[in-house]
Amino acid sequence: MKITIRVKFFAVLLAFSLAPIFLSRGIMGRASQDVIDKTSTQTRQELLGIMADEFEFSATSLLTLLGRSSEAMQLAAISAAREVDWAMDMVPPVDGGEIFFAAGFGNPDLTPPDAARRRGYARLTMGGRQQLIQVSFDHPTFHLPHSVDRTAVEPEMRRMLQAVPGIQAVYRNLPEAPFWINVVTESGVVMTYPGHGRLPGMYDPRVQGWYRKARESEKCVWSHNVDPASRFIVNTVAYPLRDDAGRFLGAVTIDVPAHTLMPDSRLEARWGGKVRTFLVERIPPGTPAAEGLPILVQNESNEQGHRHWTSAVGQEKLVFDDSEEYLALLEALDTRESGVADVSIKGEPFLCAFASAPSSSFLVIAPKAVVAKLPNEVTANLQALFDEMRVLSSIISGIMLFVTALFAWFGSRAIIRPLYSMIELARRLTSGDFGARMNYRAGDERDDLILSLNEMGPKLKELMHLNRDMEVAEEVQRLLLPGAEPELAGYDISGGIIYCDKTGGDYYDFLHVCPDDGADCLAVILGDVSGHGVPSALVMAAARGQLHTLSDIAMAPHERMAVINRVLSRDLDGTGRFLTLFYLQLEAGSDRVQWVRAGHDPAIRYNPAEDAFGELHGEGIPLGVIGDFVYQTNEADLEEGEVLVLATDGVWEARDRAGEMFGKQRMLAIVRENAHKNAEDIRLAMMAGVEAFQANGQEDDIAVVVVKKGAGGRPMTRHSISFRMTNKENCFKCFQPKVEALGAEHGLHPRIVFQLTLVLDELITNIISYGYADFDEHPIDVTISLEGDLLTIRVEDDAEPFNILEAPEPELELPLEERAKPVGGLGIHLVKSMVHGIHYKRENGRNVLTLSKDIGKAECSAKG
Amino acid sequence: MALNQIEEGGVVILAVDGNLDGEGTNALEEKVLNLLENGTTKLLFDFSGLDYINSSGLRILVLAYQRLKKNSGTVAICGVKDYIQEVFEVSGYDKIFPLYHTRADALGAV
Repeated sequence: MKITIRVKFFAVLLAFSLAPIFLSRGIMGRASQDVIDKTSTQTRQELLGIMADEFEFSATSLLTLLGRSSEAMQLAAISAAREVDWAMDMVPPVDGGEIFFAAGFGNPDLTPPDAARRRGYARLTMGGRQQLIQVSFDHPTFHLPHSVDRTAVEPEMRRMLQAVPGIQAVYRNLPEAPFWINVVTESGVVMTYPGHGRLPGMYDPRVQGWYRKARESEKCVWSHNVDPASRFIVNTVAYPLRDDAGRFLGAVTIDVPAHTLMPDSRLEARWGGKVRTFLVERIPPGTPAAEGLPILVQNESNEQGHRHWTSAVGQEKLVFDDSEEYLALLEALDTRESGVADVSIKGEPFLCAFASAPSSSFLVIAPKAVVAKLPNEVTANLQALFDEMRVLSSIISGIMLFVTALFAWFGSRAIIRPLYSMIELARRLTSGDFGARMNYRAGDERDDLILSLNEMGPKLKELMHLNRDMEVAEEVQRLLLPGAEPELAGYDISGGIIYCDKTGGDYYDFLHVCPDDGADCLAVILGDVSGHGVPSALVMAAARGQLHTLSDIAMAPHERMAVINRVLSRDLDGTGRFLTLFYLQLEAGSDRVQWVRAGHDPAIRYNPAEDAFGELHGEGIPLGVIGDFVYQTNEADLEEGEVLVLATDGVWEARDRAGEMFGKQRMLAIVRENAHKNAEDIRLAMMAGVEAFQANGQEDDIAVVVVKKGAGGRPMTRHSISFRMTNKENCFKCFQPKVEALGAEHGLHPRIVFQLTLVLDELITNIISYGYADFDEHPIDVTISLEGDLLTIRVEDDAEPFNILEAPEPELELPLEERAKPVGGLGIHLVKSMVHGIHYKRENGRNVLTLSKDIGKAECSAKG
Repeated sequence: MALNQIEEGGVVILAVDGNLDGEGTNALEEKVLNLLENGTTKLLFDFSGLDYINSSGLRILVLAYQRLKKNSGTVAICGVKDYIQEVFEVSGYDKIFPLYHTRADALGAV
């Protein structure tokens, strides 16, 4: 598929502009992802650390707070005890105030007037719900076990009432919470402030564990109970009352609801999750995990549901799933003041922050989900932020892609459009529209191209005209050359020319002229105008015109030259052009030749009878140089068979691949080798020799004229044909028509034509079939000549030496079945049978076979 | 070269017109070999229109002769031009092949 240049251009532009964008985007994307990951992870880790520290700090602070709060409670209990102690020694006034009993609550007459449901004072129903109860801040309430008679303890109660203002003062200075301050005496009287009516009738404090502990103690004692009034778990601090003698009189207690001590709800509000706090007793390491840590204080747990003051508070334990974690925690609790640990409880992972006191530890246990909530939120926010950035970056990239593509598309169009115009212009020029032009200025190198294209049309047009002119000139020049070889008694003449340009400066001509003595003379002219092409051809034409004009005027050769020289000198003055010319004048039936050498190389002369070379010398300068130069006519006599060769410098200056010139020695060799041939063959051999020699094509015009002095001065009666074939062509198809033509021309009998054909066929087939050791192309030269009744066939080849005369005869006398080679040698036998004379020689690496046949004879019996 | 094949009375007649040059000889050889393979036993070459034959052409005739001789077949030639007949005589083949003037003569004899 053909992709247009515009698409290619577009692709390249796009690639160059987008590749960096995508590359940087890819790298930045990866880098920012790394940053996100690192930042998120780091931030999360750091936040998790901060959270853990926070929890640890909470644990430590809360433990401290708990300690302080316990101390405050103890001091409060001691203060209240002082008040009671003081009151018990005082004599109560008669009207010391009304005594309200817990049992009377609900009865409007027996209930303190300010009794009301107050926030914080609640009671757990058996269904687990909290129900506010009525309390009185103005009056305490009394409770008497069943066994105690009211009247017997009335004075004691009256004394106790006197401590109420002091107790109220203590109460008011305690933190806001649903505390009970109780005063219990050995007689079983219980006074509770604030007053309420919820103590069960069967309640006797003296049998309670905390009371017994207080009886044995001098200091505050702490215990863990179910409050009979509210059914909440309370921590009770009890301080014993003793008289001066140290006798135990009772105890003052403050019931502190466990859930008010523990800040679970505050922590939950802060962290947004279920955070639990525990005060646990420390146990020695090595205790099985299944037993867990004993819980001293914890927030109210509703799970425990139905609880009653009569049943002891069961020892609750904090149990962990994993014993290894548990042991690690125990060790940490023992060895460190505070810290954090990972634990799992009931399959859920928790963070456990702790702070240790000498015998107990305060634990803040938060689900991992709660701890990780903030870090997760922060991480998620970061991720969201980066995602947003990425989306934004993608959108920007997309817009850039679109804009770049748009620019690239229109940019490529802007660049390519002039190119299309140029292509269109070139097409129009090709189709011959030389007026085609393009009006576009690109402002860069393309302008040069446009300019060249615009100039191309007129130049092509000019060139076309010139070409046409050249063709005409060539045609004219061809017409100026001799149309046929001249007939002159006693001479065989042949001339030929090969131009290297279409028209050239070489020239030859045959011209019947009137010599000064009036004989039948033929001028053989060979000339060479300096330079090539049309100007040279014009000079040549001018010279030729002169020669032809003067041909009818009787004058000696040197006079002709002088006249022509005068005119040409005038015409060529100042052009630097000149013309060398060899003028040879032959006379019919005469041995005498005359010549003028006007600056041209001497003609070669060869006498085959003596194998002697010579030259037709003489003095003379080129025509057209000095107008009044005096030329000389030279004379010589030719022997029979002597050969004259006139040629231009294109022959001896032809160069081969190595740059070596053809030279005159090669010319002489060709002349000698071919001297026995007719003039045309000698000329052709010369031209073929030059053509084969020059490797780089013809560099100069080549003109050759051969003059051969004929035998006896009579016109040649010899007719011959020569041709060259190669072993690579169908030789039969080549020579058969020529033989037919020869036969037809000379009226030969079909039988002679058949025999001639058969002889050539058999000889050539034999050469091609057996003669070559390689697979190259080889020439085979054939000459057939007819003189009178003598038919001569000459076959030359460069095959392996083979003498037909030495070939064995076929066994013709034997019947076919008995012959060793049934058909071998038959061809040669036929050849021998068809001719009268056979001559074989090996010459210069070539087989030269000459066969002669007397066509007047009927019988043939050839012998060498 | 033109080659016509006619069968008449059990005799396959090959009429060769024109020149039996290299190409013609190859074509004739192919034809003759084909006929021999297909069991032809009586072969008559009609050379009335033949203008040219060379030693290769003669070789085809010898080939046909040799092959058919083994199968008791016959090869005959008719209508040979006088100058071609000289070739037969020169090569001694006129003694091997019966030469007839006309096709009718040949058919009568074969």
